[in-house]
Amino acid sequence: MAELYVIGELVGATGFSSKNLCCRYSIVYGEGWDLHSGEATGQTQTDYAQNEMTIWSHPLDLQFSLSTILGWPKISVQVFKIDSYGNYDLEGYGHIQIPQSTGTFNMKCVTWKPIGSSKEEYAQKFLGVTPRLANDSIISNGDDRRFLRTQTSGIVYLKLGIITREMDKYGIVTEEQPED
Amino acid sequence: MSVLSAQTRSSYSSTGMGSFQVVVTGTLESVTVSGFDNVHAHYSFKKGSKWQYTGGIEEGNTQMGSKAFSGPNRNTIVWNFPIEIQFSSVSPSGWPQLIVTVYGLNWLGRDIIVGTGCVHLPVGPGSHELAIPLFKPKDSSGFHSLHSLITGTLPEFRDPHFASLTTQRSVVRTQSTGFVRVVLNVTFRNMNALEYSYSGKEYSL
Amino acid sequence: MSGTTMKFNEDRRSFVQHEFFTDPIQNFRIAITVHRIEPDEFVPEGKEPEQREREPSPFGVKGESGKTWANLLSWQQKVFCYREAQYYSSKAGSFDEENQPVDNANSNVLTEYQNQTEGSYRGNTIFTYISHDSYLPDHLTQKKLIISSAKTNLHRNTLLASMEGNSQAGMSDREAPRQYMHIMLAIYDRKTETPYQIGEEWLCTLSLSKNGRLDIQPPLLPSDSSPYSFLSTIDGLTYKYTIENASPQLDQINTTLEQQTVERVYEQNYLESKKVSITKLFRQPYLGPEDLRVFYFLELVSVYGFEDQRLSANIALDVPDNWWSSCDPDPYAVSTDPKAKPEKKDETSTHVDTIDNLSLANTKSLFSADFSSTIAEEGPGQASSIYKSSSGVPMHRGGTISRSTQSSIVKRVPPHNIRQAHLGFSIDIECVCPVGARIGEPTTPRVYVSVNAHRVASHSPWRAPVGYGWINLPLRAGCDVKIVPLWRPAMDAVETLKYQFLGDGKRLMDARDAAVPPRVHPEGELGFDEEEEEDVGVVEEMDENNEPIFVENPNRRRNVLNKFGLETESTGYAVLRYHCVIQKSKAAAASDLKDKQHNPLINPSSIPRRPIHSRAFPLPPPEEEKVLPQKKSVELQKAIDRYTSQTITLANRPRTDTMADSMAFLSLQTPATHARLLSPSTASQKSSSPIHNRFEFLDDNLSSTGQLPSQQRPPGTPKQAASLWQVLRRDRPTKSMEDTTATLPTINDRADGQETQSAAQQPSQPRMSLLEKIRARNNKQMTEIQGEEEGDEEEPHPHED
Repeated sequence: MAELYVIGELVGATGFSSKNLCCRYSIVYGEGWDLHSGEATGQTQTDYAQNEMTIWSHPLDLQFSLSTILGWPKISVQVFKIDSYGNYDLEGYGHIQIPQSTGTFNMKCVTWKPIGSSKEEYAQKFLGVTPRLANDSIISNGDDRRFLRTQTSGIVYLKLGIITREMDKYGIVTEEQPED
Repeated sequence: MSVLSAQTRSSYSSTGMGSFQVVVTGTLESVTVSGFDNVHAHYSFKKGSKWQYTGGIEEGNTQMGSKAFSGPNRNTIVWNFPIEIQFSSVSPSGWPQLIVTVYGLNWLGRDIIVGTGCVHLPVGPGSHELAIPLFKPKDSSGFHSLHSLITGTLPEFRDPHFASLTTQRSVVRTQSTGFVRVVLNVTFRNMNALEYSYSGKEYSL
Repeated sequence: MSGTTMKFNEDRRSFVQHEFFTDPIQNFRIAITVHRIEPDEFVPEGKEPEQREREPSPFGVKGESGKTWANLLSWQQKVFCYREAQYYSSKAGSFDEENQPVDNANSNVLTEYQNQTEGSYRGNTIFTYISHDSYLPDHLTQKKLIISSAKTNLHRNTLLASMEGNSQAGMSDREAPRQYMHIMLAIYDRKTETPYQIGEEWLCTLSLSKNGRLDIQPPLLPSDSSPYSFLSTIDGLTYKYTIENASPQLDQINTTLEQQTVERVYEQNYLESKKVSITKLFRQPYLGPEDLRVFYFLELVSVYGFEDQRLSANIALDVPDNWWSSCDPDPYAVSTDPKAKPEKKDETSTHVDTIDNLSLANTKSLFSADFSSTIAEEGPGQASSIYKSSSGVPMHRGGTISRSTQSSIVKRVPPHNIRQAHLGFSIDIECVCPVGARIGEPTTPRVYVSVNAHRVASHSPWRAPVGYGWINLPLRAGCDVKIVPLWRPAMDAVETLKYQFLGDGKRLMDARDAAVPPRVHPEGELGFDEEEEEDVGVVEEMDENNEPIFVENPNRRRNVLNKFGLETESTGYAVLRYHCVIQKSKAAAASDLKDKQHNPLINPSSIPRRPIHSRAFPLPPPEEEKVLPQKKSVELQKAIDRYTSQTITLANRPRTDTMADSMAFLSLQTPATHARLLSPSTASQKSSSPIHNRFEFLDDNLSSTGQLPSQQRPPGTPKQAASLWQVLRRDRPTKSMEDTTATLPTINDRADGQETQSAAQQPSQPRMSLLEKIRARNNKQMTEIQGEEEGDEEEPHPHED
């Protein structure tokens, strides 16, 4: 059975409305996949950035074993900001596909945050309560998103290194080799 | 196990036929940080339980570097400290991380921590430039920051390997400072025989 | 080493050796030998040494003699020197056991020694300072970091001492605690009767870190290298010394034990790393030997470059009809689906007159109803489909996934600070690309994107889409980011006003019109339609070499996609990120692996590798010479043409090479062989050469000669011609071929007896790609058929009915 190793970091983020951010991530994968080591969910520290980029540098070390290619894992992130009173508020949802080829990937995960009705928008402006998704699975699964209204948020940077095992034994080609 | 002569590298146990080797050489080049004139760094590695050192130096302290007097890169302080290490393991799980802690003298002349950062060693062979972002713990309140300024007792992580942890981070508040530039050359050995596929390519997607 | 050499190797002594020993440090032994060269025994080269009683040099140098000391030390072994012995003896009993435990212990030990030797213990010449000694001379603690005499800000004894108040923090860990051991040499004053110690010289330092790294300065010497030497400043004499590792070695029994342990540990390590994968088997649903299972992971990341505030996108992924997929059947199918999406008619788009509708649900495919016993029929969702997805869902031909994203408000996002809308929408699809789809004019799945602008407070788009675009997803494993440029139909002044105020605009009738409208001839088929032979062209004259010249009919009907008349304006861009993974069949994977093993470049490790794979599934035997196809008889050709309803013969149809290739594929698609294709297990067992080419497999099964393929192939033959034209111009082949089609049960009733392979057409080639092989084989056949037809006049030219 083939294995996939994901070794990298959740580096940081830019472009949100605040620079004091933390991030919760979770790994979503299909049936036929098993996570053997590493944490499938986690939360980074809360960083108060001085420069333009908020830094988390949260290490990721995951080992999967796969029996099917569909269901390749995705990382879904939820970014929260912290205000001066210590309250956490949602800043964005996003997800990214873990790459299939081996190598090092500097990925940018774009995020969006949902918008409620106009009453909720006023509430958000004055009370700081952002509407959240009732079901987090919408973040990585696009089938039911048709009627969702969202707002563009920032970008989360990840750096992922991919090592695979026994892929060629099952005839799986994840990157083209140069012709011999 | 057995006793072997010191001149021969051990080719058994964890460095044996069921394992692969990762050889890393490089330099801890410089740090870019504002507000400090003299900084030095300490680096170490954190690795999973299945990994072992087979050579090189696993911890080091750089010299005390000082800012340039003039020039465009005034905020970059250069050490060019060599890093050489060799690992062996049976599985890529627990891939080693390079943890760098930078210390400096602040305006009162006290030796304080500038920041700590952590990055995984590259997972592909070749030459890689890494930028390790640094952060330090933030004072828990305004009063505490004033207090620490006066007494010189700045908050510091209890565990020097904090930057490499995955749990226990959620309750910590940090402040990002600068970043450290590291250039590493990585070579693998025996990974193909154990059916691992890897690549030294780097993509930006 | 010569006696006259008086080099002082101070620089060698500053090197440090770092070692990670796998043995426990308690097993470490160091043997140190010191030789003092006495100056009045220094003899210039060539002169006779004086006859004096002296100790010979342990280093075997003629003319150098003097005093030699040697010692064998273990880690943290305390050896006392004369000075220490005096010190502790004089202060015996005065050390407090609690506050100075080390001194107390030392003095007790020394008292013991004195008692044993009756007071004449004078300490050792080679002695040590170890970690918990309370006294360490200054020159060993102060490390010289800088060369200049200028002081840095850091002039403390212990580097980076912990700050008061921060004691709980990890500051004291900055300098990781290490155990050290210094080996020193006591220098005696020789001028007195009973020599006493006047000083000490440093020989060696060992330090152990908490990770198990031992630093040895200077490095341990191998047994045959020259010793270290230094000139002592205390008594002015030269000392030479060697440091060697004297740890006990293994005897024979333990060596064998160790060997066995190594084997066991290897097994354990390997199994340990594989234990996660033992429980499940990788799913490999049926795949023909040359088919590919293709996975696309698409993400529509964002759209940018639009003026509107709120944008959403519709994305459709269209799988061509000669592929198989498990997604929804195509809702846009022209022939079958009456509930196609109602779009407004767009009068301005122009297309060529539509040819006969070779639409999606046709019957002209390769797997047509004549082979109904084993082949799936047309139409989506057939339960008897031969391809199944990884989760067991049967696949059908073609298919489209069509989705709508959420609507997103535009914002300027660093680092580029352009106004973009983040959508973050992903689609995953699994499809099968049969080998027939890669011959001819291959098509790949296509992604259509259309972007809509929304009013701020409504769900549905209030305008026509503001951008249409499409890309082809390449059939190439890997990942990429594509920026899809989008356009929309241009509007004149009145329409623009209507667009601004009323919100209606021009839209395409079918979003797929952005690419190739399905009413136009689709490229998914073999790319040609029914044309009479005369329409294409005729072979009329012969040129000077008596070779036929093909003249193309200038009135020939062509397939042209004509969008002239559609006016568009460019709007924004969509960012699409995709990954493609390709999975080959089991047989192809096995042959690839075997190639990798033989090719040292791919598998560079020199350690012999356990043949684990041989247990998983058998690898094909070593690669033999490739078998090129046998000649197909004309009868066979006739029969095949009847099945496939083609009006053109091979000889008169030189449109493109790919055309010829696709015909070749058709020609070999007989029912018997096709049935055989469906049982891959028999295929892999029977073939005697790696299954790289479907046609080789066919020939192996068709061959009745019983000869091994390698025996039929003479080596060193020239390379095949690649194009049909070159083949047609070549010399006629000889007619000495065996008949290998005799085993075809239903079609062939004529034994030709001309099927042996001529030497001129048997190149020994390296591994070619599939297309090249088909071309080569095909060209050979056509030459043979051509030759035979030309020479066989009474044979009627096969025409279709």
